[in-house]
Amino acid sequence: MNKVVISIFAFALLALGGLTAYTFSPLSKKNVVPQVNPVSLVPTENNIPINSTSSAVLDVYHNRDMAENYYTVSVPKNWKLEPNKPAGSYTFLFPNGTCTAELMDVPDNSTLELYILSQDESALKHSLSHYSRTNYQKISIDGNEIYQLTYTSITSRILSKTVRAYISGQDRAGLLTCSSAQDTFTQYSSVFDAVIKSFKWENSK
Amino acid sequence: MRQLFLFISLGVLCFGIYLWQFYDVPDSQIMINFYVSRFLAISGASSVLMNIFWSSSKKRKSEE
Repeated sequence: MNKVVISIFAFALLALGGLTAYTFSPLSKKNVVPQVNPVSLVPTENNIPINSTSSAVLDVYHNRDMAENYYTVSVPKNWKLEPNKPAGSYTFLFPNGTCTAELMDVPDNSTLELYILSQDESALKHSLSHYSRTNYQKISIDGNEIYQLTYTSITSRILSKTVRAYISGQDRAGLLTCSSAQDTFTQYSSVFDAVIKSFKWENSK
Repeated sequence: MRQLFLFISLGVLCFGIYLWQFYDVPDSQIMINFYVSRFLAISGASSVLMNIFWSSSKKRKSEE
């Protein structure tokens, strides 16, 4: 056995040892698992009103957490952003409801619609009490296909109504889930629509 | 025998590169994919190199 082969073998062993130490050390989690980019948490102001009937203005959040999945979403300025959420996601709180924006990993061997109907909706049926679908529709905005699922369920003994919009993307799908108590849903419905329509991929071209 | 070893090494290297670059990793498996893909790539690449240098050293000896 010559020296070169022995040194390659020794180098490989060292590299594997280094890889093992790096992967399982606390430091590596920071580099391997996506982290929240502070830029994502600072909204820019948009002085355009939500819709013709409301004077409330929107804050625009530019999410820069995951490469290939940069997006913007606009929410009313008075909605409160909940801190410490995973990379790529936001949770906003407002009276009698919540709205979340997140990225969803759809397996390569499935389409978004198939995934929604076969996996995600059945998961909702199992996890939510008294789940009942009230509407399902497919719309297209700015070339993005959006699948919109509306359902009612009971959360903390309150009947709530939720609109869940899945926005197709090149890598991951965008997922907006806006929920409020059923009796206030009509009041928020146009705002939820505006939030869903505001979702845009930033690096889709 | 050496050719079989080279063939297996190339297979390991290619599989490692596939997991590293092309496999659609579910969110829950990012860490394990990071480790396994690089482990296979390093093992495969070093095995291929060892095979090449081993062969060439044998050839040199027989020429001498």
